[in-house]
Amino acid sequence: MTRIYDASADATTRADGGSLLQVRDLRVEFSSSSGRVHAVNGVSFDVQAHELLGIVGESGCGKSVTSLAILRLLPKPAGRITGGTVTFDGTDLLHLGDEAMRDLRGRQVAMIFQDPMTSLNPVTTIGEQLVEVVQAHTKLRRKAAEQRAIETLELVGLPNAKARLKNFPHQFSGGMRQRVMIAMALIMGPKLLIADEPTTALDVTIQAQILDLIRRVAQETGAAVMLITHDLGVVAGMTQRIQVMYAGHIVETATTDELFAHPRHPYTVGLLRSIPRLDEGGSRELLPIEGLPPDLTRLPAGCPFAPRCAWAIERCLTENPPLGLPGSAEPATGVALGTHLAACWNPATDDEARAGVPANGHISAVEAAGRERAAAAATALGVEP
Amino acid sequence: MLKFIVRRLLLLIPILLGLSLLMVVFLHMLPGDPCGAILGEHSTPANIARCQHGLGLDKPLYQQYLDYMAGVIHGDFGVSATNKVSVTTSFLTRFPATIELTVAAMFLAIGIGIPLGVAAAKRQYSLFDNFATVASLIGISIPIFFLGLLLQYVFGVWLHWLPTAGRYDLGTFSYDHAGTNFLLWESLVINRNPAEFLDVVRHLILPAVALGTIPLAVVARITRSAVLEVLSEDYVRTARAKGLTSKRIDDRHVLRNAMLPISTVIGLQTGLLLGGAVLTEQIFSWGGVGNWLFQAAVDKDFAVIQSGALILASIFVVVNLIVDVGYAYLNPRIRYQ
Amino acid sequence: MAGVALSQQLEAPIKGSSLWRDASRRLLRNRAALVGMFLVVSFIFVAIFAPLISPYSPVQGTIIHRFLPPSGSHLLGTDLQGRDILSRLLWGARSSLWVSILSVTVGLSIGLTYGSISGFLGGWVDFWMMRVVDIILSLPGLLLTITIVLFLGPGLNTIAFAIAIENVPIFARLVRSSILALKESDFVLAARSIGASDPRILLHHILPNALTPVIVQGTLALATAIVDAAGLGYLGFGPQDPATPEWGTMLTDTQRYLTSGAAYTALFPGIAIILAVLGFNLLGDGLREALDPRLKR
Repeated sequence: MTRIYDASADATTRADGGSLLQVRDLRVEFSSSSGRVHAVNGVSFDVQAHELLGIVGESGCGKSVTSLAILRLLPKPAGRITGGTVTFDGTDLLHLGDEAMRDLRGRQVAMIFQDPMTSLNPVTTIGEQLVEVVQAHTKLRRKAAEQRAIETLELVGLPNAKARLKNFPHQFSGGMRQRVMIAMALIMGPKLLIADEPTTALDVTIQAQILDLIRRVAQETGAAVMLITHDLGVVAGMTQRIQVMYAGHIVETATTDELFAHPRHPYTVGLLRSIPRLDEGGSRELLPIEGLPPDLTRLPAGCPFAPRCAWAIERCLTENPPLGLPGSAEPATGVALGTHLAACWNPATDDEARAGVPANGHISAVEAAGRERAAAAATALGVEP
Repeated sequence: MLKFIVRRLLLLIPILLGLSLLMVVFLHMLPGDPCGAILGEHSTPANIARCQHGLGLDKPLYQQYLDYMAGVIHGDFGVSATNKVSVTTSFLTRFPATIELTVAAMFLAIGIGIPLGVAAAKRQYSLFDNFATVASLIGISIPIFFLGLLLQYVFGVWLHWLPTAGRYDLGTFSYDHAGTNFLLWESLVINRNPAEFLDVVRHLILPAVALGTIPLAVVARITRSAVLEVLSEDYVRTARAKGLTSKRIDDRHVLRNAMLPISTVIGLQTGLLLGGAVLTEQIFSWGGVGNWLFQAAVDKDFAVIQSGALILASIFVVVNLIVDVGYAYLNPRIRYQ
Repeated sequence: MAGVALSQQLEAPIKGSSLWRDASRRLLRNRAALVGMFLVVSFIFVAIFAPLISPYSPVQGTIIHRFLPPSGSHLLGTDLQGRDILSRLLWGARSSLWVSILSVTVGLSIGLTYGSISGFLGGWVDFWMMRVVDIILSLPGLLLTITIVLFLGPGLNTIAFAIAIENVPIFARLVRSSILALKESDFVLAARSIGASDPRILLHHILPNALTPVIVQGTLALATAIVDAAGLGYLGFGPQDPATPEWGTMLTDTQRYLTSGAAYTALFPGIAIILAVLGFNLLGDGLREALDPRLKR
């Protein structure tokens, strides 16, 4: 598939030698009938060329909004980027002209969405939907564009690609539809592929196939991948690094192996405890995380996870911890990519992480604080829903 | 697709049979006697009996129906009781006028309604959107006859810009020999007379506006809401993420999908247009089918009402079929079933 | 557990807000719907209290006072027979209100029953019942009403009945399609699985849920009925009794004087019709948005 992987587009040749994508202190707000929703609250991260990065969190944690903000695809006029910078391949995306931004979408940075049923246009053929991407970015003639569409469909493992160009989305199965979506994203050989919950809407049996496919095509085309999911199980075998998001903040980041072995943030601990793992046998109890994420229209002064956190201490309720080396009160600056960072005043130890609960002595006081806070939050919700 | 059309065509048969049966039974059941109406003060029992025999009303109902249907199959829809002219002939001379009027009205409704709705949706909550919303609300609330009167008064009586009655200037032009009775066609293509064509167009404007305003408002409203609905769909986000130009997104993704509900509404409105035409033709003395049927109703001319309604209903059903086929063409989920 | 406490506290307000309370809150927040409600309430008020609030008799006029322009003593002027136009308009509201309510009530009751039976029975019964609906729908509506009025004789009740017949297929289709959708819904299957009887399911589970679109359509049908009644009046099929002023008839009566400088005599009934119709249309739109939260943007 050399036609799709363009060697000159190799991101590592950039002058500054930095990352392919740099996001710094990104902030996004939505206006809604119940007030301003602070969806993303100062998120900073990097994606390197050819890297597979996982972004994990519950729905509403800001992970999808972050990816839409990068491509300036936030729903207008409700969504607004209120601060920060996004730099892709040396270009400031937030100040790029509309036409240049349009051309960058689909060519340099492509996206795969959650539900392939609703994300494909139901009234045009998939051939048309693939060809139009090529024609939006190149001057290729229709025949050549169609040829490229066929090659890309073959790359994603769609059998009988040529004949299926004439088919409509509803004539495909869910898994095949998602393959078409992936082909659509890859057809221009992008440097960065953002996959937003690519397997959530699919049957469990298909999920692994699609994840394998994404990993394989990323390798073959040299694209970096930002894999967004609520399911740690999805990223486990796939990504090099993971960052965990909660209430519009990145609360922990590390290499995948490190994060699974030594989670520090209580939220990550909770996420890990809530997925079944075969390697620990039947001895381990599945623990759901109690409570709900905070109301993003009125973020608490302290750590947003504190109301649900068994590790919470007094300081958690008043001061939001910065993302730093675990146990350090200073925000981490200038650390190497892949360094383990967590935003927590009272990170879990390995033993606590394995047990899923804080060591003895902590519990009662923190539980009380948490309960008080939950009650306050509920009252606030009840009075002004 | 062919199977779909055939199935729909087969469905027409019970509807048309039922319709004709209903018309015969319904008119039979209604109190009031056509012969009494026709004869007026001359209605002696003997006269009425002779008249009823002449119209075949003394036969049993099923026999009347069978006779009638036998005629219909041969294109004979009966004879008007008031002027003895064959219903088929009257219909054919008058129908072109109604077609010109309704097509012009629908042309306005679609040609203005869709762009208006799209523009409003793309500027949701703007001044323009609010103006369009209020205007279309008034548009659906204004009765045809009142709008017709206003138009006649403002553009005819007051400004003297446009004629307010008839299809052409009787003093200047003559269409006695007219073959098709499609005056737009006759004046432009057959007679090749631009002045004549202009005259016909000028006569058409006010009735078409009066008849087209409600469908225009309805089409604008549905277009606005359909476009808004589609704009929030995932596949539009996909299209933007693919880096398509906004023109391409609008044409290929937004409008193509919004056309599904819009086409349904256009079909419904086209059907309703025939009812509106009765009023419009009455106001503007337009010699069309609506005008003719209205007069038949006033005269209690059974043969005309029965056959006229049957023909109009058949046209309505066929128009609906065309709309459904168009809808299926637009919607591959139906086309490939 | 903190979570339990949280969810217990959250439950109270959720339980208290029903569909209807939500809907009425949304309705009251919708400015256009409020305007509609104001127009509708004024219309009904005027119709009910016409005998008390009209300054003159709607029937009696003095011929020497004919075609008086609007003034302090005759706010909207007088017509050909010297009758006070304002008083005739106020009384005309009664005719419009009566026809619209009667026609929608009759049309809705027949349509609701017909559509429920058709939708609930399904199969061949449904198929043929719907073909009958198709037949009536295929007839040009105005022609149908004119024919009915002609043969039943003039009068407000006849007009209302004729318009009701036109409404029946619309309501029947509407009810049937929502019943078909609801029949397959999870809560009906649940009711069936615990052994509820068919009539019980229809009355207690399906109909209340099928009513939402019917309420909206009913409001919009009130608007259409006013226009249709006025249209019949305009064509000369209004109530022939001069003691029953009717807006459409008032329009025809005065149409001839459009050229003679007495245009206002036609303008006022026209505006009255528009305002009443606009009121019901705005209210119907507002109800639709309020009752179907999915439409909310």
